[in-house]
Amino acid sequence: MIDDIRALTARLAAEPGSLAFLPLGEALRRRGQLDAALTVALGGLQRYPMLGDSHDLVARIRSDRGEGDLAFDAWTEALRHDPRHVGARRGLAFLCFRAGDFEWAERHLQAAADVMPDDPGLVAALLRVQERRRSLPAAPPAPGALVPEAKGSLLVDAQGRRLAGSLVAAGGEDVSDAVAAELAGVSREAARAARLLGFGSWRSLVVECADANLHLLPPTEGTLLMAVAEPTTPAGRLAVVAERGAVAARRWLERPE
Amino acid sequence: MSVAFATVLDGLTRVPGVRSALLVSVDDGLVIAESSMTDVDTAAVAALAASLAARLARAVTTAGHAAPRSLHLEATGGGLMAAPAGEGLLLVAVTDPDANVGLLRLALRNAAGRVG
Repeated sequence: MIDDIRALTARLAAEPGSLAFLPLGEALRRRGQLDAALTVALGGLQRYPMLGDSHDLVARIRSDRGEGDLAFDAWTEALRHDPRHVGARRGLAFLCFRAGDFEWAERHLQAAADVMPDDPGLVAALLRVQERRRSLPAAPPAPGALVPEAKGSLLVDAQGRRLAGSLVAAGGEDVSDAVAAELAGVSREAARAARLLGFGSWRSLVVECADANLHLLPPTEGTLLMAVAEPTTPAGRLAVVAERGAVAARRWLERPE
Repeated sequence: MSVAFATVLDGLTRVPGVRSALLVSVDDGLVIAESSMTDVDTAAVAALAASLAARLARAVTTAGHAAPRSLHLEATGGGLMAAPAGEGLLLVAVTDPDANVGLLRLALRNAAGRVG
């Protein structure tokens, strides 16, 4: 392996614009040289920001470094550039599984298995997660089901991780995790604006688009609930619906384990 | 401030509960024109509104929706309402907590159409 690393390092030095950073970063990661691996991976990412593999490599290294939040962001970003990226699906499934979100672990693994149906490792992981889900008592009602009047709803934490709910774009693509990642910034920005302008705590954000109305509010400190409705839904009604969802989300978040 | 901008912004500040109205450059968050009824830090409002609008636009388009036509931040002590007003511009109104939001929403849209 050391010879491989030497060869790949020499190749990357000779051709800095090549994709040699991918096998080099991975080789360093496997050897446990995580700082060096991350330096190589981030350098490659700068050159290839649109490449799913670049983000996947960064995510694997972040995960090994115990930086779960950053790994989650990087795998989400990988999927944004390549929705069929199996490595990113596996990684997100792993993080979801570790967090006890077996439903989403299964969804990610199923999506990966749809791309690579003959991968025995994927099939085995999928079966394991499914068994685990079956062995659990029924889950408490999630906010997705608690905003039934909304077209879609999403509950996210301060780090942009999806806690519950889902959003599907018009083309049928599941955009839940990508939107959740963006919403962390929105929540921070809303809180910052309200604070700096001397308005106190922010209560809601209403957004009108040509094809949807959105209502965002913080059910608890550090979480954000977004409810999406048709543009024909009156703003006041959507506010009531979202507020009910926030009450349910609060109850769900503060339930005893 | 040009007369046209002044007329539009003055019209917005006549809506009950509106403290201040601004025309903001989206790219750099700077005030282009303003009309204030009270002492409002318009430079801060402009920067914060532009930043919030940009964040929201990213989230909304990631969700597969069209770009926002308006946004309203409601807080315990006041609020911000904003609407795009032509290429790279944002109309922003700073409100009291008890402002007539429904009326302001219509006035803002109308004003944005006049600026754009």
